[in-house]
This record gives sequence, C-alpha cells and structure tokens, in this order.
Amino acid sequence: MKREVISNKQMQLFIFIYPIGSYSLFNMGAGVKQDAWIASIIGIIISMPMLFLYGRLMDLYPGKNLFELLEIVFGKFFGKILSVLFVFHIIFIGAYIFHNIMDFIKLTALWNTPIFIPMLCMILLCIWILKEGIETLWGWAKFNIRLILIFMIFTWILLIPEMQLSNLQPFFYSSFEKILNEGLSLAIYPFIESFIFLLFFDVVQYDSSTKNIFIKPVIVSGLFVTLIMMINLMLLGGNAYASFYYPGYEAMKKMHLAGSFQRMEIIVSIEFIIFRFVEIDCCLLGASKGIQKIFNLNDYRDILVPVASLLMTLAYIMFGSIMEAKEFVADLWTFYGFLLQVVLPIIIFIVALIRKKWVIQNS
Amino acid sequence: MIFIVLIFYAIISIYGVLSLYKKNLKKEIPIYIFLISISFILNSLIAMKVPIPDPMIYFRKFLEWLKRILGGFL
Repeated sequence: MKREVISNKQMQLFIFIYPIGSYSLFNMGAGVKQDAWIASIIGIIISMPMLFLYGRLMDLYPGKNLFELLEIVFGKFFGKILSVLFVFHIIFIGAYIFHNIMDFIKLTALWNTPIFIPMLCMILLCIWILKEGIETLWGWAKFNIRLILIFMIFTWILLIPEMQLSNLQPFFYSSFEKILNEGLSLAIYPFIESFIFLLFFDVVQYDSSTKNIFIKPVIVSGLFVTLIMMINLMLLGGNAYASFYYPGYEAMKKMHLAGSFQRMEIIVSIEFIIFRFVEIDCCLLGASKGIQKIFNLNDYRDILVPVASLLMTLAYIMFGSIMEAKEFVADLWTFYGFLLQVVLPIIIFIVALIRKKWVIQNS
Repeated sequence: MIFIVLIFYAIISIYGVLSLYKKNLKKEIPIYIFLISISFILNSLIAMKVPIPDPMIYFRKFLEWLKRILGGFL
C-alpha cells in the first residue's frame, strides 16, 4: 500500500477551502439579513474552542485518524460502532454537498439535461483524483485556489461602483439573541464541520505544530468568507440577500462595467463547483478510510468506487427539491451537527484523555 | 434505461472484482460487491420508476424525535 503524506500547510489549504464553497453562493446567515456578517464573525469565535479541541484530540494519538483513535480508546466493538456512525455522517454530508452542486447546475445552466449525467462525470473525476492520492488533490486545489482568488478579488474591485455601504445599515437591526443563534448555526456549518478532516488525519506529517492546525486556516477562511458575505450584502441589500437561493450568483449579475464587461457570474459558478468538488473528495476520502478501518482492509482505494457510487445514489434520492433541502438545513442541521461534531467529539476527547492518563500511570 | 444501469454496474463491478482478485485481495471482494449492490438495487428501482420511500422523511422524523426528547434545544 502506498503511504500518503501531506504536510501541515497542505492540510491547512484543505481546511481553508472547506467553508468558502458554501459562502460563495448561498445566503448563509440569511435569518438576520444585513447582520449576517456579524453572525459570521460570532460563528468564527464560537467555533474556536471546538477547533482547538479537535487539534488536542488528534495530539493524544499522533499519526492516527479518528477511526484508528476510536478503536484504541473504545476498544474494537464500540470503536467500530462509533466508526459506522461517523461513516454514515460523512456519506450524508458528502451526498448533501453533491446534491447542492447538482441543484445549482440544474437551476442555472443545464435545465434539460438529466441530472445523473453531470453527476456521473463529477463522481468519475472524484474517483480518479483520489485514486491518484491526496497529494494530487492538494496540487489540483492549490493550482485552482490561486486563480480563483485572483479572479474573485478582480471582480470585487470591478464591482466597487455597485456596492452601497448603506445596505449594511442599521447594524444590529435583529436582536442580539437572533444574531447569536444564527452565529451558532454558522459555527456548526461550515466552521466546525472541519471535523471531517479528522477522519483522514493520518495523512498529515505530524510535528509539534499539528495540534493547532485548525485555528489559522479557519480564522483566515472565516474572515475571507465574512468579506464575501459583506460584499454580497452591499450589492444586494439584506432583503434580497435573504430571499435569493444563490445571492453570490445574483450579486455578480450586478456587474455592468462600461456597458460591455458583464456576465461575470460564471466566475462564481466555477469557483463554487471547484470548491465543492474538493469538499466531496474530502468526504469520499473520509468515508473510504472509515470503511477500510471497519473491515480492516488493505487500502481505501480498493473500495473507492462502491463508496462513490453509494454517495452518488444517496445524493440523487435525498431531496426532491432545493426547498426541501433548505427546510431540512434550517430546521435540523444545527441540532444534527451539534450532536455529531460537538457532543460526540467532546465525549471522545474526555474518554481518550482519561485512557491516556490511565495507560501512562500503569506503564 | 434499466439496461444502461445493468450494463454500467456489470462493467464496473466485473472490472473492480477482477482487479481485486488479481491483487489477491480476497477480503475486499465481498465488501465491494455488498456496497455496489446497494447502489445497484436503488438505481435499478429508480430506472424502473418503482416508487422508493424518501430516506430523508425517516431521517427527519428520527431527528425531530431526538430533538424533542432532548428538550428541543437548538
């Protein structure tokens, strides 16, 4: 089996990319309209203790991923039960992200194309890139992120004449409690969802700085996505931002520079698909690593095709429409994410810490 | 449509199983077949337009029940 290794910096690139995909397009924090950017900053702050805990958790057993850690801490039987739970969770997240992309493609570009055609194309690329290894995925992501960032900043500069600072005012129009709730939702999704990186954390070349691996990229990414949100709000206003499904896409339509420089929404479409592609790959990798550990297999690549097929099928059948997906996310995602990405990791951390101390005392 | 699904899954399954067999990975073969058969069955039902229950309805009900039990927080 080929051993895959990436450095801390390379892993941080994936962590940086993860939240940007959803922010670039969706009306994140729409419940508080023009105060969404304040909720986003609160979300970053709320997520910090959990990200710190994730780092400490992996620091207890360096060089292991979460599935290996679960078997060490909880024993084979309970470890495998928890692993199954996390495999379902990661397949569910992957399918949801996949469903998002397909909804977007169907609503904005390929109205009449059967949706399984683009799905099949995309999943084949996911399998291919993961078969080549995580280093290839990193190289691909690094190449694209540079171009995307350049284009994003370029379009923001061109959009400055359309921006109205008054669209952000009045500040704190919604009650602080409502903003705090929205901030909590934003912390759970997408910042604390960096949890998925624990599932293939064994690929990271471990050193003393690995325990703080999550903090820097999430802060940088968080500030970057808050800027995206503020720009979308300044372009559209709070009400329009809350009512559009894809405000990032609609905001780009505002560009009419010198009459001819327009239709730049294609940049948002490409950037959204590229970021989501990386996210799906991370989910697929996590799920395959989980199944590899549960059944003690040799290499996760051997079962990549059936896992990808399962993820694609679930993405196809999971929601009837974008409304259903939005309703589910609004009603239950925070609760669901809180259980699996906050409560369970805290329990795992406490048990791992007790076990580690017990082992040290008895050795 | 069902024939396309059949041919597609037959090709990828045979190719996958044969490559595992060549690499002498016998433990992987049943897991491979089990996982791919789940998506094959689901996709065949979709292709034959057989109504399949929406998995999210049950998942949603389960989460709502759990949320209610835990005091409805969040």
